[in-house]
Amino acid sequence: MDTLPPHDEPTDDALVKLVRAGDESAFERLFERHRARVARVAARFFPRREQIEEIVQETFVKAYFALDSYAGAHAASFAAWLSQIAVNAAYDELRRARRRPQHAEQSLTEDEAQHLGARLDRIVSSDEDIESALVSRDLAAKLLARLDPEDQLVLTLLDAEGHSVAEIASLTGWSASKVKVRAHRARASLRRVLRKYL
Amino acid sequence: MFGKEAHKISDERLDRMGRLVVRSAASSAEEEADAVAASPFLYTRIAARIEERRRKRQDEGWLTLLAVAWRAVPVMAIVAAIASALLLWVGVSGATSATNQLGFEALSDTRGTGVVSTVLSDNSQLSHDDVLQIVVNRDETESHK
Repeated sequence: MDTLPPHDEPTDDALVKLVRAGDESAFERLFERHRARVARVAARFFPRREQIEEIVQETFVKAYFALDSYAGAHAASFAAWLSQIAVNAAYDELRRARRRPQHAEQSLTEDEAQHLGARLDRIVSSDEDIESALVSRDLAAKLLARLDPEDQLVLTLLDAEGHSVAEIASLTGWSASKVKVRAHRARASLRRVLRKYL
Repeated sequence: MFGKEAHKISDERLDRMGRLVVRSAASSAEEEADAVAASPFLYTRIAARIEERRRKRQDEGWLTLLAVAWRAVPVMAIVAAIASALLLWVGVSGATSATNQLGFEALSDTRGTGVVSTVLSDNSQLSHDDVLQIVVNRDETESHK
């Protein structure tokens, strides 16, 4: 757990106070404590190293300028607050990525489509245990990239991170009902995408 | 296994496949994440970005101020012109009424309630001599009686 400092170390809230008072080195200490956590959040959404680093950088920059809005009361809340910023930064990047012309290049090549079709076909016809089946990370990421950013976000938080609806609502700032509706639509979209390759 | 057959697969099974895809996309994320978190000079790059963003915000602050001033100058000029016009108009009309008022106050006699007050109450243009003449004439008439 990278958020719990030793007894003689200042708490996150104390470091935040120091940063507010103008001590820049306190922010570096906060970064040291939480960088692994933020990088893990980013890595759930993006496979490439440069994308993950971009999210990490953006998260800490946003956190720095938003420190005045942080109203922490207990030790874990800074980590939760930072995770919220990281998820939002990832969501922004997913939307930006969709608008870029390179996004079209992310579509599956013919070979990849054939490989995926055969893989899924085998799972379906042989009644193979889906959970034990393997799909390469790149291929899976390309499939997910065909969904809306909101769908990607909610499915990743639900299925990869294992968050509850309430937790996702808290992380994204959406209402619980919006998360449920979004999750329902996201699953339907993913079903449509998968059917294309079956 | 295309077309109709694909639709035979239950939604539940497709959802399980979907979960597999999502988990596969996020798999081995820890390795990549740890590599990024351990990369040297990461904080230096963040600090540089913070500095750049701070400078940009300051520049934007000045630009915003300039933009506000740019829009405010014509508005202020119009307001000043209207204020000057109003001041001139009030000044001219005020001066006219002040002249009339001065004449009235100078000629009216608040102590008496007789002819002078009555005559001047209609703001006539009588001179001091006229008034004096009227008073003298009245006194003479009364003394002849």
